[in-house]
Amino acid sequence: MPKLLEVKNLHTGFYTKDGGFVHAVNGVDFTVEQGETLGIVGESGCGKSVTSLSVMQLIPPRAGRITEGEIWFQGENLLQKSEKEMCALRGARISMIFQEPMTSLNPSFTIGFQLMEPIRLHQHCSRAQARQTAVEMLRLVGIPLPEQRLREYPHQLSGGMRQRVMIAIALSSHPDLLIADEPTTALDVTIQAQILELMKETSRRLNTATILITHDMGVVAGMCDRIAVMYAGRIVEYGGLYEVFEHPCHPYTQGLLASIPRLDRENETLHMIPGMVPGLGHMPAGCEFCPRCSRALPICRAEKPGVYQATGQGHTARCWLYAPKEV
Amino acid sequence: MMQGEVLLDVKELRTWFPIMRGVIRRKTGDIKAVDGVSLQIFKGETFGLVGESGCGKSTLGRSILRLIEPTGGEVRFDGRDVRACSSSELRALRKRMQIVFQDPYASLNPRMTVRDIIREPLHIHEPGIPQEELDRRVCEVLELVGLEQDAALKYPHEFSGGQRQRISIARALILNPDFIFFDEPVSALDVSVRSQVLNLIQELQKSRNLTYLFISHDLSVVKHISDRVGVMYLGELVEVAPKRTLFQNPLHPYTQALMSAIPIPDPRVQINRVVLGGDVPSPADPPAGCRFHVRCPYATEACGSADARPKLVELEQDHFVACIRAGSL
Repeated sequence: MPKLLEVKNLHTGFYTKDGGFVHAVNGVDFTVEQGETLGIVGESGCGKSVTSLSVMQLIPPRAGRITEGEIWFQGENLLQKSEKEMCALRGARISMIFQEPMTSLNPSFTIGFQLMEPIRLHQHCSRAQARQTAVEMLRLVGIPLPEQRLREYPHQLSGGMRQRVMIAIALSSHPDLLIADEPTTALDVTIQAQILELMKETSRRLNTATILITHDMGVVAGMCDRIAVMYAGRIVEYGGLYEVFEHPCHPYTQGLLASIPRLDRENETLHMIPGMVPGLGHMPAGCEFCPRCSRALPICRAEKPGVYQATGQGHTARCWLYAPKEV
Repeated sequence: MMQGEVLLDVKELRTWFPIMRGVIRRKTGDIKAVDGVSLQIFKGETFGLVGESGCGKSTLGRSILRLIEPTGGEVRFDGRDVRACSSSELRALRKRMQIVFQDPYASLNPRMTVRDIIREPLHIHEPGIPQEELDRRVCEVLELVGLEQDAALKYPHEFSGGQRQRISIARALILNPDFIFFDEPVSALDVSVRSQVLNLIQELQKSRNLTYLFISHDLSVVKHISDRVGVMYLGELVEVAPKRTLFQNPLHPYTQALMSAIPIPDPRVQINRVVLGGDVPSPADPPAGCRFHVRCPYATEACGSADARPKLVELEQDHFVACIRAGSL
């Protein structure tokens, strides 16, 4: 399959108040192929949102910047594009859905206005045509009485409905890549099930590739083809869905999977990962996970591990346990 | 577990919030946040309460402790009528019932040290205890919840979410309560820290013989921690059962849908998903009859008739369901 997006050695950091600079994303590599869904999982502060904002180049210039790396999208390096070129790309070829449907719609404009704006901007069509497309999009995402909804304001819709509108806006110009940053975290489980079902269905129908960013292993299991597990600004494990779930290799992935209470199993006490995520300014010298790792070796404390092959082709772990023997 | 002694007995509890409209703030209706809930919690058990946001689970918990004044019904704690208590009697009773809130960032006063936060309940409930005794008891609970002794002199902002939740738990424990109400205690925490706090909550129950009311919107957490589980929908309890029974054989269509909506972290598990249409109706104007019938895949005409509001019925032993069709589905 052709590569749609290829991110190589991405480093993004932020300025601190005392004049310093900390890296939130520290050398991330991944690819997304045409039509596939990549899941990026990790806990809060692991850099998953910053990764997606970097791809869109939405990091506010005053807050931080991308210091290193390449982002190839359909054969072009996005980091060499001007802001004007990025504007033409965002919303047209790459779209994004944000976590909070409450705050990502503008409360003072109607749904119709917000939905038609990107359509008119990117497709250069008439108002009537844009309206037509908007109605079709709302119907696609399962909103009843779309003509009437166009005249309503965001506060008149429920959380689930607002997230549907966000999906409609994101998909309105048939992008090749959709980045969904925790699209269902703010929603209730029954509504989450509706939205996930909808996202699966529409991306299949429009053949859109998706990057799904979430902290919920359950959501990933039901949605993705491949997974990247992030911890402290790095991808610690990367591989196919079944490989990662059935043979998790990195001790962090193993711990994460074991500490989730399961609905389909009996569990007495939960597995615990001791300690907590280190702060951005206080990363350990060696592997970032080693202070919490039960299988840490002496080398883990001293040196950062490279990326090694885990169970097979395309399944990698950033962990000394999988380093080839002669190294 | 079931034949134990009843610690908390709630009968037909109602908490309605008035809706005020217009210039003269005339009352135009009620939001029926909790509408006729009856439940019993036995000594030493964990009663889990699940439901989606806005279903009234937090209001129910707070009404039980009278942090929100209920509109009607009865609450008995260890045989005493909580709603009839005077404020001094209530204070004595509250010493035995404590609460841990959801948001560990908002529920600890940022200007107080951890020691002051933890010993504040002692100042109120046991005034005049000597300084050494105070310090000793603070040290004791800090150790109990797994915090270092030097934590006592720090401020809440120096701690992570999981540690702050431990401080909240320490504050609840210092009075040696019998009953603790946990209001979504782990929802704000990350997975790897969440399991630490859940395990702590369970260990404390064993070592101190506590009774819990545990609220969460996350079914898998409730399943993990509870002995019995109640499912709430729009201000009503729709199903109550021991956890194993409930999870193996959910009888109410809402429970079934809720359970099938939980994503399971295993790609090989195929779920027969019951995807519910629509949203939760407004509690200001709940549907007549069964409140779930507008979203229920099995609803018949009878479910929507005004006099058919289903009551909790014991369909199997210890398994209560409020659905007129539950037996035949």
